[in-house]
Amino acid sequence: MEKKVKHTIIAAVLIVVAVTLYMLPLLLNLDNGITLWQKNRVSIWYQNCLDSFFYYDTIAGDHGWPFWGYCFEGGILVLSIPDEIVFHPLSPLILAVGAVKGMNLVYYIMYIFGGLSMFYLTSRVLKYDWAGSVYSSLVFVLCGFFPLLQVYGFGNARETILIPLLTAFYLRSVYSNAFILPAALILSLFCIQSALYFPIVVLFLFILALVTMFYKDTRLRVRHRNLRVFFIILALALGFSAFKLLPILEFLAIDNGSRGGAYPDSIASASSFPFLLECLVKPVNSGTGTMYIGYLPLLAGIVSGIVLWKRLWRWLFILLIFIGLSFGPHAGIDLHRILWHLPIFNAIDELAKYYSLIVIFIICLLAGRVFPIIRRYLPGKPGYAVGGTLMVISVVNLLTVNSAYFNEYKTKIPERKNGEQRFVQAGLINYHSGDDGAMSLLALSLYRENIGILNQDYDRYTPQINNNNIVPRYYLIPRFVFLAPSTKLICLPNPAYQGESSFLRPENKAELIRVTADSLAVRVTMTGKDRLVINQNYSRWWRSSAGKLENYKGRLSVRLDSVGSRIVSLDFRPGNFYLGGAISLFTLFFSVYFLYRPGKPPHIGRGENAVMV
Amino acid sequence: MREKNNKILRGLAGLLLIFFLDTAVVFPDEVGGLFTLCPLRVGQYAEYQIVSFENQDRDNRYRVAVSGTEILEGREYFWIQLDIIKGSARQITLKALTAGYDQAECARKPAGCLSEGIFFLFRTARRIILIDQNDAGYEISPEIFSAPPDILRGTLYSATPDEQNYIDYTKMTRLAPKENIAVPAGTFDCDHFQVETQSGEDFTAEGLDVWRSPDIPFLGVVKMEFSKTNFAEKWKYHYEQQLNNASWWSRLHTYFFVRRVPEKERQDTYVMTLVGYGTEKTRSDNRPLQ
Repeated sequence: MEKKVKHTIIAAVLIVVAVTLYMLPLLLNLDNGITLWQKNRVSIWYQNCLDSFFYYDTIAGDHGWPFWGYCFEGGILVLSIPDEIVFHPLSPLILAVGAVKGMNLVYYIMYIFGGLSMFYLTSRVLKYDWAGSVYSSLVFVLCGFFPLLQVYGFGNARETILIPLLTAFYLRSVYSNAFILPAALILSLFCIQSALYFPIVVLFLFILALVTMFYKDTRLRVRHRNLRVFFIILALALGFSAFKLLPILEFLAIDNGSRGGAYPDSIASASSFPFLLECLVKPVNSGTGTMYIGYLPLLAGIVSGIVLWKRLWRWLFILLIFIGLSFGPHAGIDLHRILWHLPIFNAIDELAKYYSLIVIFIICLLAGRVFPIIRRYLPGKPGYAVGGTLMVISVVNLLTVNSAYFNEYKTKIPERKNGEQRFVQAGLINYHSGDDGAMSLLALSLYRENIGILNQDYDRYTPQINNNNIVPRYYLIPRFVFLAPSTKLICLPNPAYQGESSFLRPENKAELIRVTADSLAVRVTMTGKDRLVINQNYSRWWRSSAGKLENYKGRLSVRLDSVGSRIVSLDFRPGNFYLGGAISLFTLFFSVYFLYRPGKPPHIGRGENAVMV
Repeated sequence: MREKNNKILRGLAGLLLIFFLDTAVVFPDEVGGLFTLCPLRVGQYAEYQIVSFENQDRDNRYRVAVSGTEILEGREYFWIQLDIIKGSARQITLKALTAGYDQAECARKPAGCLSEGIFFLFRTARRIILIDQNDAGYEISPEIFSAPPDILRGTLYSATPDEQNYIDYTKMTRLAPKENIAVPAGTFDCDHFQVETQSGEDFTAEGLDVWRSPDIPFLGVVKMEFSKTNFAEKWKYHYEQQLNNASWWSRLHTYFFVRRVPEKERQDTYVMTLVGYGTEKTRSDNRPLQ
């Protein structure tokens, strides 16, 4: 076996073993959910859990497609939620092993992919030595950034661990067209799963394209292909994601406009130099932005940056830009404020959480560069000893400190009361919205009781639905509205409730007998013409087996003419998803044909490692 | 002799019973005696804002008013109206026809008065009207407030501190004779009552601070801080509880690893402040029922 292959296999095994040890507390409790309360607050992980259960119940239980979220906000197009898991490439795992176990396994696999991605980037693209590649990979995959966001429940950060792979494919695609398609596919995964991390990653890639455009031959030259390839990758990624982007655009269009960031809110969690340092080297949970790597990897990164600044200036420049962005107004120039005027960027409310992704990625990259420096100044055995000690201490430290996050999986999730109770909806009145996690746990708890929820306050990037016309079966009101010192909820039956389906004329009777994520069935008994009103938001993508579908004061309704008893069925067929799917497939075939058609040699540039060394 | 002994034992048992009953219900005189309430008058109102931690929910308002009176069985009853507002929209309104608070009872058991807020008025109401967002009014049974449906029973949510909320009112004390408190409705000389936020207690035990002035209608509350918990302590307690039943692996892991990620301390507090109060003309919004 070739020596290089042997080294790669050893590195891969090391990464897999390290990730397995790191996540052992989770792997031993795969069926468990996250601790109910952290820092006296409930993790938003329960929202991920709810999405996962909904996905599992719909496909495995109802044998349908998870298109219509009948239990969320009176009915929403599930596909349009930016970070739902339906189209995650690993989501079939959830179907195979169950909602919670599957979700936990997806995280485990993503960590392994993340570590291997970093090894690929550093060893094959940036041409690090073996020790440097392994060091960068282990520090990156074991840093505190990803597990913190995992236990906090920011599921959209899960795929960001693949940023080294995207960087690697982009850098290779500058020299070979063959890598454009994989780069676009990875970027499309960010687009359909990572919500607000997508613009951050696009910004990073854009800056990377800009700084790698310039190179010195006999004089300073500009390679326009770098920028061109970036735009091709972006366009292809958007094309691949069309099946999800079109529903998202429709969802954004129905937003009642109450969302939108206020700049002071967006900078409330801006980082600063002391906070950044604390997040990197103090083994405490400092909130979002925490990315503990410890002193040694940080020192290694600083030493590399100083000694090899001429070779690493591009990475140092990008690092400074993103540190500046995460500082917001605490930086000399408020770069975030400039970006904040752009759409999507103005929904970013936790600077440290988003911009830190690039900061920690580049610090880990730089840290691996310290090994050639050690060898240069300490040749022979002393260099091996110092390098080995650095590697062992750093990795053991990260393993012991950051794996504590995975000890949070202690909660047993109860079974869903499927079929035991008829589906109804509950409306929240002035719930304490500061606690998104508690609200998501409430939504999950109600879902498990077959109760949908209205007025759940989602993240800022999720539009608010105007569902005032949906009539809840119950009102859920915090006790503090009665001026009592309590956040406990009081449940009041709504006297105006007429059922999940009803007719305008009381002599006609309707009963919702089936509700799934792609179909509804109502048993009707009619004595004359009437309008059947279903207590779900109207969507033009419903199709009825009888009568004419209409929007009745924001609710779904069917005009029925014939008398007698029968079952009226409604099927959900989201045309924008089908159209988007056609665009995605066309983009895929088009790109495969043009990039890999026979007889077309891949574009070969100046050599794979000409720029980013 | 035996009968005499039995009498002594019965007497001792009786004394013990009285002692324990007393300790269960009696509060320090200085607390109970200061819980005087402003008598209800038509037109009287008080409006509050409740801000959750991280300063959220700033657009919420809670307006309590006496919107009218009715004579039932020769006794005067008051219509108490609670408007629950978010932003510029009224979410729902609840109206209760009630006899009002029992002044003496409230002074004797301030915790009962304080812990329920104006919920007591709804629980003991003769009639209740719910007015929804579409301005449609519906009469609902007051019994619902005595035993509301518990759709969250046994769910994960019911185990959260939000839902488990517990305040040990027996520890309530008055801190200073008078404190000058500024709220959006003005500045008031207030009595400050407190249940201290304890460390090392059950994670659901919460602290409480109330500033009261007898000039303010209803409960006299000018400002209230509640849901005060020291989460670092809760965290510690939580882990200690878990460790008792944990496997050797979890114990070992927790011993070596978990303690290395300590939490920062922060109090997660909700603050209720008075944003308006006074007396206005009787509002003629006793709408006919549908």
